[in-house]
This record gives sequence, structure tokens and C-alpha cells, in this order.
Amino acid sequence: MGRMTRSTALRIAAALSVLVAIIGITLFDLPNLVLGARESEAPFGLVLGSFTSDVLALVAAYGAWRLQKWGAVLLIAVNAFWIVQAVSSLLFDRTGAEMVFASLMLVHHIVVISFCLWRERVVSAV
Amino acid sequence: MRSDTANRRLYQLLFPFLLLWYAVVVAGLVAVIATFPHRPIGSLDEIPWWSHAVAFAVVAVTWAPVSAWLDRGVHQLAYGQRDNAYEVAGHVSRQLLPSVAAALAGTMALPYVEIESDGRVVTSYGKVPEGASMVEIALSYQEQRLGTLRVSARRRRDRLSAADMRLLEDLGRQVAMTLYAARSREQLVAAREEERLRIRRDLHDGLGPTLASLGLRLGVLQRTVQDSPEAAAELAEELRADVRQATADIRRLVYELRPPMLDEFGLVDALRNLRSGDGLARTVSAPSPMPELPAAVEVALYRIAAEALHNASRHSGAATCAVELAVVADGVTLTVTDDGRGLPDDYLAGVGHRSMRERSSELGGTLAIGEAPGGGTRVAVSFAWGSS
Repeated sequence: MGRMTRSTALRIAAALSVLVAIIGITLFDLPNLVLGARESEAPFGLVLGSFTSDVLALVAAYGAWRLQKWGAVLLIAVNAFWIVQAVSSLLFDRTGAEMVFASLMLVHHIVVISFCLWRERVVSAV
Repeated sequence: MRSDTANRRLYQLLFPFLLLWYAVVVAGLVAVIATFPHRPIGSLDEIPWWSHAVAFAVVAVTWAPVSAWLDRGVHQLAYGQRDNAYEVAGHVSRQLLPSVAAALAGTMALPYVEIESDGRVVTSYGKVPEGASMVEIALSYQEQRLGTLRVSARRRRDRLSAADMRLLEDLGRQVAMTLYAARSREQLVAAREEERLRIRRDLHDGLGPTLASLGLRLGVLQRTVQDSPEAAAELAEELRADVRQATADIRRLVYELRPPMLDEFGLVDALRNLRSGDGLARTVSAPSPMPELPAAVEVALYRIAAEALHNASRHSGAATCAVELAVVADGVTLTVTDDGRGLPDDYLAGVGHRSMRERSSELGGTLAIGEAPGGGTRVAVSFAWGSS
């Protein structure tokens, strides 16, 4: 495995997840939550689910940043959920911009999960 | 152990979940490619059947490397990582030696842990998995190599990660301290027994027969004093010499237990009056007034200073020697610096140096013997109140 330490990998994963969670909350969740269930541009259940997963991602990122095992596990779970979301988006969304965004997110989630499962370089044994 | 069960459950849940998730993601991505010319699709029914067949083939082909990678990653996450090394260290340090190995094996999910000291296995726990590699970590405390910690990798054809090694090195320091404490206790008990044996031997073989002989000869004196006053006077003279000898023996015995000068003059003046065996000029500096030190520390400082002065006069060709006592809130340091030749390049610790080191380590002190800044040799010993 690479030379990056496990703690660095977990902190990068945490930082990336915070970034995506903040983007999700500010650009999608909050505007739709403010509009309310009736006027929301997306199905309100999806908005609530997205907001919950974003908040969970922030909590998980905190744990992963502190190098806690529960943080890494929660981060894997949230990003696994997000990957399914990204694949759905690639299948069902209409615009090219949405497609590009979903592709970027897909890569992001795979990278985060890989970092959460990061194994340091093995050492020589006698 | 509760954490073991939690780790095992985490591994058992997360690994299959990620494998399943991988299959789903591959199916989704293949579907995205398969439906790309017609995108966006309206429902999942529009995904052609061969897309699933291709996805199945991709998953089948990549199954072995991906599942191995996920297995290693999840295994490391579940068993290898510890949230708080100090928590583990605290747990380990509370155990005594036989259970330290078990605690290490339990907390780090290691199948085999062995602690070796002085070429013999002090304790071991578990069994080496067939084909697993072994890792050795040196156990050192206060610059002393005390032994070796050996652990096996968790599984066959697997190795411990650098993070595991770092944690093991941290824990190794705790193990070394435990080993040191156990060894010190053994040494203290052995030293006490040796001391008792020596005193018993001195009393039994030296003073005992002398006093018994004195008693018998006093009886003879009593009988001869009337009939032969001259012979009695001669005998009395012999008896007087024997009593003097017995008194000297008692003084020597008492001196070996604790130098009387320490009680008569105090540590600083005892150091000033210490005879090094020749005309070595000596300066002694100490805080004034000198704080009261624990009796065992005083004796150790006195003996170590005596040995250092003896070495300076006998081996280093020094003309002057500076003895310095420095007392701080939590400890005392004695430094003996001479202006002699210094330590030779091929210097090997002799009986005197070993004796100094034993005296310091008995009380948890640290001893450093090396070159003095301006040439010569510097012996420094420190005792912390907590350690003594």
C-alpha cells in the first residue's frame, strides 16, 4: 500500500466529505427545506433524506478527523449511500451538468471509501 | 472481551455489505453505459438484460482482487485501528507481566504474543498461526535493553501495518516498564536476602566465635588471676586485643549497613570527608541548607560518589575532582567530574560501574557516565522522589 499514513487518509476523507456535505446542504437541502414540502423543487422525501445524510456525513467526518473507528464506519456507510444516489442520478437525470456533477460525486465517494479503508505500507517482518 | 466481539461483528457486517454494495454499484455503472445512447431512462425496466449479464461478468472477473482488497481494508479497520493508543497503553500498564501478553493479544487482536527477557521466554500468549510472520520489538527502559516483545501477524501471509508497529512500539515501552518493575522487585528481594545472608555469616562466623572464645577465656582468667597474676595479665592483654577486633568487626558491619558519617556529619560533610585513597583535591558544592533526603537516597549518593572518586584517583590520573549536589523540587542530582584522561575508547563497564548502576536503578534513579565537557570523566546520578 501507499506511503500515506492511515491518519492522513482518514483526515482527507473527512475533509472531502465535509466539503460535499456543505455543498449539498447549501445548494440543495436548505433551499428546498425553506420552500417547504409543497413548493420544493425535488420530492420532499428526497430532500429530507439528503439533509439527513449530509448531517450524518458531518458527524462522521468529525469522528474520522479525530481518527475514531465509528467515524470511519459511518463515513463509509454515508458514502456508500451517496454512490447509489450518484448512479441513480447518472441513469435518470436529464442535463449534461447533472451528469458531470454525478460523475464527479461518484469519483469522490469511491475515493472517500478507499481512504476510509486505507492500509498503510506493510512493514518487513522477521 | 467486549471490544473483541464488537470488532468481530463490525467485520462480519461491513465486509459482506461492501461486497454486495460493490456488485450493485458495478451493475449500476454498467447500466449507465448500456443506456447511455438512450439516456435519461424513465424506469429501471428500460435497462437491457445483457447489461446485468455484463455486470455479472465484470463482478466475477474482478471479484478476487476487489474482495481481497476490501477484506484487508475492513480487517484493518475493525481490528487494526485503535481509537486511543493511550487507553490501550493504560490498560496494558495495569496488568502484571503474565497478563500483559494476554492484554496485548486481546487489545490488538494478535494471535500470539511473547515476552522474552535474559534469553528466556518470560511469558507467552496464544499460538502462532501457521505461516504467519513474526515481528520483534526491543524492550528498553532507561537505556537498558531488558528483553524482546515478539508478536505474530494476524493471519497467514499477512503482515502488520506501520500503524500497528507504531502502537506496538508505544505499548512496548509500557511492557518494558512493567518488565523493569518486575525485575527491580526481584532484584530488591534478592539483594535483601543476600544482605541478610552476609550479616548472618558475619555474625555467625566472625563475632559469634570471637564472643564465645572471649567468654571461655574470661573463665580461665577468673581461675588463674589468684594463682598466677602474671599469666592472667598476659591473658587479659590478649582478651583486650580480641575485644578491639570484635569492636572493629561491629563497626565494619554497621558501616556496610549505613555509613556512620552520614548520621554524624550529614551527606555534604560526609562527602567532604570521604577518602578516595590518595591526595585527590576535591571540591564539594551543595545547597545550603541541604534539604533532608530519603535515607536510602543518601546512602546511594554517598556510595556512588565514593566509587566515582575511587575511579578518578585510581584509573583516570585526575588531579582534581568536583562533587556537586543539586536538589530540585522533585529530585536530587549528584555530579562527580574529574580532570583526568577520560574514558578510553574501548571502555567496558567494570564491577564499580555496574555497582553504581545497580545502586541507582534499585531506587529508580538514572546514571550517566561519560566525557566531561572540558575533558575528564563525568558521573551523574539523579533520583526523583516519585521513583525512589
